[in-house]
Amino acid sequence: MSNKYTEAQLIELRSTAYVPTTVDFEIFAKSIQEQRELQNEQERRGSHVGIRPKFNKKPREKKLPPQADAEGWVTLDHKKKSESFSETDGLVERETFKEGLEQDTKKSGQTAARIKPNNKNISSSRPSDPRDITAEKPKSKFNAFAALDSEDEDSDDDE
Amino acid sequence: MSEELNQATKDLSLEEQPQQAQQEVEFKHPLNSKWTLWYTKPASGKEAWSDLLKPIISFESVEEFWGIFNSVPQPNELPLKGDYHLFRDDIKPEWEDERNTEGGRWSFEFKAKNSVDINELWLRGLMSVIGETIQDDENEVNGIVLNNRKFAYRISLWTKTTTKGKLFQIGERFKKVLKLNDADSIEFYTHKGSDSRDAKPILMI
Repeated sequence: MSNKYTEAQLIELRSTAYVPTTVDFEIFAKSIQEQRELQNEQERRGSHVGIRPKFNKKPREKKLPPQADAEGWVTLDHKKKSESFSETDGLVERETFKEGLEQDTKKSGQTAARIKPNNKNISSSRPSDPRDITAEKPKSKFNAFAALDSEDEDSDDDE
Repeated sequence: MSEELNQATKDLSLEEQPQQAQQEVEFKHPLNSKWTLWYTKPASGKEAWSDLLKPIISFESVEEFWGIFNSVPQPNELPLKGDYHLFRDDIKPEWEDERNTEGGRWSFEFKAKNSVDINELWLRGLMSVIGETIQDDENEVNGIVLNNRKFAYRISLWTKTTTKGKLFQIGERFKKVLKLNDADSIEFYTHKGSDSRDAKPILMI
């Protein structure tokens, strides 16, 4: 191996540098700078838009079952559910009821509406509507005196 | 961008260019071999590997080496996934080149990118290769590669063979060139064994 140069020898020869003219180094350097700028722009946009996947996302913590205290009591955390019946729903229902009531009133010609409550949901055994008394009356009655008469007739026959 | 790179290197012919240069200037400090500087630009689309890897220029003298080194961007100016390769003669910086196939590479990663002077280490690597002080045997070292990655700078020394006796001596010198401590270890991978992602080094010093 004839041509060997140590690091010190090479550094000493740095001043003899000759730039070949066969390649335009300015264009080469410019293209590299553009590649860097493009990457920086992509990095900047990527970090703002948040398109990179989150591989290190923390898993959702498991909820522990309720723990008993020193005295053996367990406190349950009952969160009150939010009302599903909104104010708008109430208004709509009220208007529907009003309209229905007006139509019934017009049909029957009465100014006051007759409302028949549902007895089934009332705890008292007494009917709230007097008309129900006759409706719920038993259709046949047991006649005790008539029954006695018939027994007497039977015994007479036996004797 | 690729067109600009092609434009910058359009007149380069690995066979003819140094002869033209020598016709113009008589260099007093010839090198032992002709060397070619290659550059791999980062992929930006569906480009083939051959489109990304380009020879920049070839040289055969110390004077040309310094002229080129002073003119090209420094390692810390390269974009991510941009690589420099300096290879002997017309050896391509690819495993597939027949002069590389039976060889491998010593490699070290500088993970603290902000605290390492990569420009100085790359220059030391280049000088050890073109000055032939990295090896005793002739032409055992095929080239040297710099990779700029997000997590690290990597410098690798490519060898022609995987003969352990030669590798050990080259590896020891390579560690000194890269200013590594005893606690730092460089690894040697064979090109044939580097096909898989879980490739393991055959040597560590």
